[in-house]
Amino acid sequence: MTGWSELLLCLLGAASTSLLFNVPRRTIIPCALLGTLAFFASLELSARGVSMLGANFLAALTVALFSEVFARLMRIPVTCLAVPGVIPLAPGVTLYRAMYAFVADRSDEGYTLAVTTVLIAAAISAGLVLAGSIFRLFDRNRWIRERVIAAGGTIPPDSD
Amino acid sequence: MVRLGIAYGVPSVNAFCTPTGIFLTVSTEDEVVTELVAIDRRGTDLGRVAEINEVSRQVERGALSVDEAADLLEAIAAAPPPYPFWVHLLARGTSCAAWSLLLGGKAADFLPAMVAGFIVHLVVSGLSTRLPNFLAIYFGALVGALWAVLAVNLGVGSEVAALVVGVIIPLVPGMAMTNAVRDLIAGDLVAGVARGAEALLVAVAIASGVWSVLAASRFAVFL
Repeated sequence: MTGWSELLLCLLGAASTSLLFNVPRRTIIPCALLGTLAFFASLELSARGVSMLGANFLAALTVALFSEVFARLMRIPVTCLAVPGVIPLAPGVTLYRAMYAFVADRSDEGYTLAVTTVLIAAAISAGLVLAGSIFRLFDRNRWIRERVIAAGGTIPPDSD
Repeated sequence: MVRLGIAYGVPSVNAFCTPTGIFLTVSTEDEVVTELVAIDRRGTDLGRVAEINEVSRQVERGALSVDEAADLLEAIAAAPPPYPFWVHLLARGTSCAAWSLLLGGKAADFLPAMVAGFIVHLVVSGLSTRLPNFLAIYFGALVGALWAVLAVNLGVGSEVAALVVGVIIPLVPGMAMTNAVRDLIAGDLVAGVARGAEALLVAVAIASGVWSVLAASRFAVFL
């Protein structure tokens, strides 16, 4: 498969997943872009030798930072962008494989995969939480606050 | 909720949210009111999150009276789903197809994976009103895996493994797991543990559904 078809598939997959979460209509395209960013960021980081957890953390952090910016510009809660954005990273298939290993009597493999799942989930949430905290620090700054509002954006009240 | 209370000048508001119930206590000098709402159906609806957030912002700006805000919230609760059933069905199909290709499928798997998405969506949404969530997902995964095996035997799909990924993608609780850990990090220990347990149970349901079919098909080959 060429890079372009992967890109297209990823956009399609991320957009349709965000639709399943009932995101507001105008955020579907940003969600698709963020999801694609997450997918390719984690692939690229892994290819450059970053560990699996590190790649997930950095990809989630990147997506979450972009979500925080978009959320302010589009006047919507950060969750509406960040959750669909990190969906491609979420370790659903790993969790399934863990449980499948247990069901199929391969519990050694199951334990390894289950721990991996929890750690990946922790890495992603750490990225989300960190991005949120960074932006909350900036929100308190009056200079930034005035400029965001002047540009037609909003400062979300301490969202989570 | 706490912000709403403060915006309306209530001296003390306490809210405690878990995936299975929401508790709210409002106290003034002479009375204490507590309300508890039990939750038995859960889902993710980010559109509503956005709408409720908008109401809460207007209240904070002082633009809405208590009654106006209550009316708006009632309207949000009563609103029909923002996208009709067929849009969700189509979205499920394309997301299955796209992810199954991205996670190791070949171009020939696109259509069968899409059909798998349709089947699973129909089964799960049809059963989830009648059966416990766990069983609805179990049967969804079972029927989906059955289709995967059938499709490969009919020669329309290249590989059972890739199609099975397509089947389970819409069901897997990856985001639930991530949210669980996020709740735990944020200190919402009850919500985090509850979500984690639910995610684990859903994953067991999916794995059992798929395993039932794959084990049976292996057995059938020996016959």
